[in-house]
Amino acid sequence: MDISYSEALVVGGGLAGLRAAIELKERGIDVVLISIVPPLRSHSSAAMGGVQAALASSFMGASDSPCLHYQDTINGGAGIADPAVVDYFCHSVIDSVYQLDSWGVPWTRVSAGERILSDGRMIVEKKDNHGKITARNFGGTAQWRTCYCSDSTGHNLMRAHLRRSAAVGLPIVDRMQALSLIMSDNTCEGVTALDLRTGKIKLFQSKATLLATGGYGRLFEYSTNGSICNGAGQALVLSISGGTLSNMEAVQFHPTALMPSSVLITEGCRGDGGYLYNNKMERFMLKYAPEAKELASRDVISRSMILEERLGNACQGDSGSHFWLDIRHLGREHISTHLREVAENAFCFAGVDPVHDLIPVYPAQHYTMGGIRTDKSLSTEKYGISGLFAAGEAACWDLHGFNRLGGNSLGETIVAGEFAAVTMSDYIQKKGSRLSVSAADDEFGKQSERLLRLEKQSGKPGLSYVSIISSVQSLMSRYAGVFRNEEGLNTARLELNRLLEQEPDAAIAGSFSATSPETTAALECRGMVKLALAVVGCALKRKESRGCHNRDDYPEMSEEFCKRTLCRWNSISESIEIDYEDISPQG
Amino acid sequence: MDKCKKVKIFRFVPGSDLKPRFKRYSVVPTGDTVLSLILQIRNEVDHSLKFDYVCRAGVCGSCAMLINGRPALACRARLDDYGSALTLAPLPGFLLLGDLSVDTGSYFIRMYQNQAMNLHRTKEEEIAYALSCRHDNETMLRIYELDRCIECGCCVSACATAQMNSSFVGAAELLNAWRIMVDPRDPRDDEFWYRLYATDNGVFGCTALLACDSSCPKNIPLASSLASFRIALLKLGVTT
Ligand SMILES: Cc1cc2nc3c(=O)[nH]c(=O)nc-3n(C[C@H](O)[C@H](O)[C@H](O)COP(=O)(O)OP(=O)(O)OC[C@H]3O[C@@H](n4cnc5c(N)ncnc54)[C@H](O)[C@@H]3O)c2cc1C
Ligand code: SF4
Ligand code: SF4
Ligand code: FES
Repeated sequence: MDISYSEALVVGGGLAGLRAAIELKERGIDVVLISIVPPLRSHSSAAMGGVQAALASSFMGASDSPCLHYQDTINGGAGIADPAVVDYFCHSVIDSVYQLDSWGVPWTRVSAGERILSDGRMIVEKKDNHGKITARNFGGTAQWRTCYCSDSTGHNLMRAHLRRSAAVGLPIVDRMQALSLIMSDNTCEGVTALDLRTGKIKLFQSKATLLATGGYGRLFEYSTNGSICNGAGQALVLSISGGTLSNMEAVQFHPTALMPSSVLITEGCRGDGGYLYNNKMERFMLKYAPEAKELASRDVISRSMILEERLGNACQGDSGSHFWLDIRHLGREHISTHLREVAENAFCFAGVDPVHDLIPVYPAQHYTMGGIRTDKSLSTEKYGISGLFAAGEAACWDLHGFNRLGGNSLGETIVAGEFAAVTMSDYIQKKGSRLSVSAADDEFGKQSERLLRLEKQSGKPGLSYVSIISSVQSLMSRYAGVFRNEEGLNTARLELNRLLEQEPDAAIAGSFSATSPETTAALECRGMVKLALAVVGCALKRKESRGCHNRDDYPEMSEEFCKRTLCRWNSISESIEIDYEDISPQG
Repeated sequence: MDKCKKVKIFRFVPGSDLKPRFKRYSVVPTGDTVLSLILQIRNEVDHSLKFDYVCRAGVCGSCAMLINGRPALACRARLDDYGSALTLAPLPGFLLLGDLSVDTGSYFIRMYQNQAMNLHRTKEEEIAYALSCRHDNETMLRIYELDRCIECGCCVSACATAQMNSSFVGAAELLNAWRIMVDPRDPRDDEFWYRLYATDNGVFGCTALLACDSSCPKNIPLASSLASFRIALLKLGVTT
């Protein structure tokens, strides 16, 4: 048996995981980080837009403050964001942005002098501010607050973190797929994982374990997320007794995903003056948001698109409905400099040249606000599990409530990652050194059996795991998308339950290898069906519309539901249990 | 036009297959890119086919492979740009993990380790430092341009020197060293970089044939960056 022992274990090499592991290491704690892919491949690298932080250094953000940032975030959250968490975040993220500057992040700077904005206004940046970190405009904010590095902020942050990780000597083990939590009663003592190089199961025992495994966007067929955003961490928690998830129905959709690939087309296109058309070449947003028009928030536009579609006004392409995004009038010069990535993606994935052609877009899943329930210090202790922590998109500590502001999640990964490390080191100091050998042995046995069973069943005719996962994805995009209703959600629940029943009979279709992509999918499959049931169950029970959760049959917000949703898996009835909790009395 | 693609794919999983071979597939593609084609093969024909991808949008660097002999990102490679026959093979110069999947991760972890130095500064000191410095945007843009490497490994695979001398660090590592050296915020003096890379396995091992430059999917100017780095180190050599 291959065992690694460390004081702390971090699962996930995205920004949240890296930030936490660096902090732990700097605090003198012996920590190991595992990731299913080499860290830079993590989804964090795909974030382009930037990090919201009220530095108040640029002309358009001159009167910004953490208070305004707080207000915008609370407003976005639609009653479900936790004031204490938001307050902590809005202050801390400023320090984080400066700290990252000293780690070498190439933040775009203020250049003193006159500048013409895209709407034609002229502004003058003060001499005093020359060379400070500047900010750009993002939807839903009172001031220009989003700090950025041209068009690849997430990538540049990741690289700064990786340089820092090496400097502090952080051991990173990539191609390591976490399979289950090692539980000794109600205490988490590490994970079992499959080494995707050797096909061997490894034990990672530790006093404190952080799940920083990202979101569950890939439960949806149409998603801007990377292929590994499968909700692995949420599924690990749902599978242990008492493991609690929260606000799973809170899923954000982005209106301008390129069709049919769902690659994200940045908000910048609309910010710079792009138009949206329906199949009659009407700018339909004039009807739904006469003031903001194409600059309305993500969910307003996503909803408007679906309503237009219902009126029969969506364009019909080879692979389904879409609308048109038009940036032709911005001109070649502007497109090839400011929207270079857009032009490349539109050509590569849809075969269109935005200088001459319209771009086909449609709403797709983009961000998951729900996740592993933690308290304000990123620990799951108050929800019955010790030794377990979560941060980043994997966690739900009520920063975003029922709608995330663009640019708040990159900041979250860094602030929460650092804070989780502080909580974890306190926990480690208090906990004795003893870890249960039998708990680890048991879990190793269970996972080995699981793998053995997959091997034995392989080649058997019948349903494949891959096909179960793709059924889940199409059900979720169809019934748990921008608009939801009782009938659709019930259909989805029924179908998902059927898939859950069929799953034990599924088999690997090809020949078995522990490191094959099919085995990876097989090991994730059941967890994904359960997570989908959690999303659908919570969406069914929340009979109101709030933030990104829209019910056709309950279009109004209801005071009764101004609470966070909690859900657990009942392993006897094999179903989701849901209850609610007030936002404030959490401690 | 015949829409059918004839694809030859390198198949070999070390440790479980006896010997490498090329397997042939005929597919009518439903998507536009090489990645969508191999996903289609994996989903419909051959579930065990190994290759890496995450973002499918050219930003994560996972999916580099040899497409008709040249290193490229599968997700960015448009089928229209290739004929009706395709040959796919893993990137050379990296440990083969299976079929089209190679271990670029270890190369880059080693690179970060080579270039690291612990600074022992507290967060307060770091914030104070950041607040005390101004940098004009041109400087930041220059660093940004050099920081765009997605660690795909194409440049290392394209480099004949790296293929012949496995101790040669490769274009990506030299680029990243230069990126840090030009950053005014990095406190290390130039001698640090001189000691590390003014060697036969560093800048002096590079024969400047520039195969790396044209293979970079992010169009990072490797030729001029490596040349600038070499000149900077040469100058140091003269003065020290
Ligand atoms: C296209 C796009 C653009 C975005 N742009 C912005 C933006 O401009 N601003 C902003 O604030 N936010 C943005 N976001 C959101 C933001 O990028 C993410 O919320 C954030 O990066 C999540 O970081 P993370 O560290 O929590 O998770 P991730 O970066 O997703 O990392 C998860 C890690 O967990 C690992 N992992 C997963 N499963 C397992 C397993 N079973 N075993 C071991 N390891 C595992 C993965 O390898 C990975 O390292 C964007 C999102 C998308 C989709
Ligand atoms: S210039 Fe030639 S030798 Fe030097 S790194 Fe590039 S390909 Fe290799
Ligand atoms: S320099 Fe270019 S080719 Fe080389 S690893 Fe980086 S992105 Fe890939
Ligand atoms: S899949 Fe990310 S670069 Fe190709």
